Amino acid sequence: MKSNLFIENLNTTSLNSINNGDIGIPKFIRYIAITNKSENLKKYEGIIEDFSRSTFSKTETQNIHINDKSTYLTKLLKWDTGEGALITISIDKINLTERFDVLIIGHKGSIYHST
Amino acid sequence: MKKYGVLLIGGRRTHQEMYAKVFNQHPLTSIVGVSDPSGTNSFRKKLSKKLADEYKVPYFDNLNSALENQKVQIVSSAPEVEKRGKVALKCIEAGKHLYLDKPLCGNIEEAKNIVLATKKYSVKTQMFSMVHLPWVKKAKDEITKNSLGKLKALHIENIFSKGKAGTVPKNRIRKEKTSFEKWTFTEAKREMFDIGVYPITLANWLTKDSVKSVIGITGNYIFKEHSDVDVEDFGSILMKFKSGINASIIGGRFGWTSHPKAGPQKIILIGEDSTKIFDSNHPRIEIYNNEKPFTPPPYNPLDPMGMWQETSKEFFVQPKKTWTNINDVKEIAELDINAFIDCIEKDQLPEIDAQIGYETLKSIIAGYISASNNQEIYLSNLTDILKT
Repeated sequence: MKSNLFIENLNTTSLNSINNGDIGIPKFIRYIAITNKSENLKKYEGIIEDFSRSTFSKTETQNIHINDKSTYLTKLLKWDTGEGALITISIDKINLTERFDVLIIGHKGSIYHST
Repeated sequence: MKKYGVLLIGGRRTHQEMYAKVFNQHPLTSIVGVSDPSGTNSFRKKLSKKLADEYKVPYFDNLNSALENQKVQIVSSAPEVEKRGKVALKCIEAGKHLYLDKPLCGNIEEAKNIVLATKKYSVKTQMFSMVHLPWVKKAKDEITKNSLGKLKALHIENIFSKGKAGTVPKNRIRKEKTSFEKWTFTEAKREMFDIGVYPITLANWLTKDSVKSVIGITGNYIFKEHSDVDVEDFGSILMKFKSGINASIIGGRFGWTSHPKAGPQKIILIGEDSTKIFDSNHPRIEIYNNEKPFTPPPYNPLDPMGMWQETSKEFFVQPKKTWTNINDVKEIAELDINAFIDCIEKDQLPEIDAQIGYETLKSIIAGYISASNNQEIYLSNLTDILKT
């Protein structure tokens, strides 16, 4: 519950910054989420995909998926207007804290987050 | 008496600037001359002559005669990308050990010929890479120790924080192309090729595996200079390896002011049990004070992307001081060239030889084709695709 709140707050804060024009026009998202719960794999996938669509204000035209069901999933989302999002969510069975590492590239600046 | 005479190919405003410095200081090597391949334009020749003057060595107008010189045992090769394949072959056939600037070359067939010639003539080849950096070696050690469990996936990124961001024309949507004749321009380079080569090489080296297929995306997100010559400033590739490991890489350039230091450089290893992030900028101290923050240099028409070491005061790039790494180490070229000389001395295979350079080039070229046609490209089909 707590970690869900964090990822949602992280995304909201990032979107506010993007909408403020802090990085210019958003172009590419590289989002890594490391979770300790396997049920979060799908949940975070949906949250981060939605975040990417909100960032670029439209639905992707290509959604490429690779995974190893018990360990991670990686997605490459492409938009026909050139934008992209590379998303990886992995399950960490040893470290119990969740971590997020995000890079959002805009045409004039970037947003970083590293938990 | 130093053991190995080094011939430099290429001069100022190439990576040869930093390679020459290391070869000049290395206890076993001495620079014996500078040369260029035939067809090099007068601007480039002038820059090579400048480097020769700097090290007080002769400039050889004819590369063939320079290679016949018995004082030359090693060639440090950094000509224009378009000439690299033929130049490398010539050096290997002359029996010289070859230190190669990255990327190996821009043509798959030429890259293959370099690999074949290396085997035939029994010389050492090494392509410049990041594998000897301590933070990168830590990632390799982690895989060797198997502390994360069996390696399942990895992500590697390298983005250079140089050039003036935000200059790309509004609404620019670049369509990737599948022609690979020209790689470098004065004002810009194809960045997935030029910078993407670092993470792709690392992915090949860390996995010790062969790539089966790739999926790529490129964009012209940031710079007018790239838009003007219709090349990408950013790219990302998904690499599927034969063993089932998958890797994602991103490489590109996004502006002086888009990062507090040189740009993000990270490796993320995903093992069966755990995930670990390796960051070139960790551990660090951060400094905030009343000094004027970093200001990019004025527009330099000869080098707007800040690719080369600038000597004129007008375009001098001030250092970024906010982030300072705690474990700052030797320069990357020093570590890399030291390792190359060690391999020659001990008759060992360099970590990144022409073979890995060739494998890396295949993934890059396939990445461009994939970005162009939005399809997964199998490397086994690459030669046929390039023929069509």
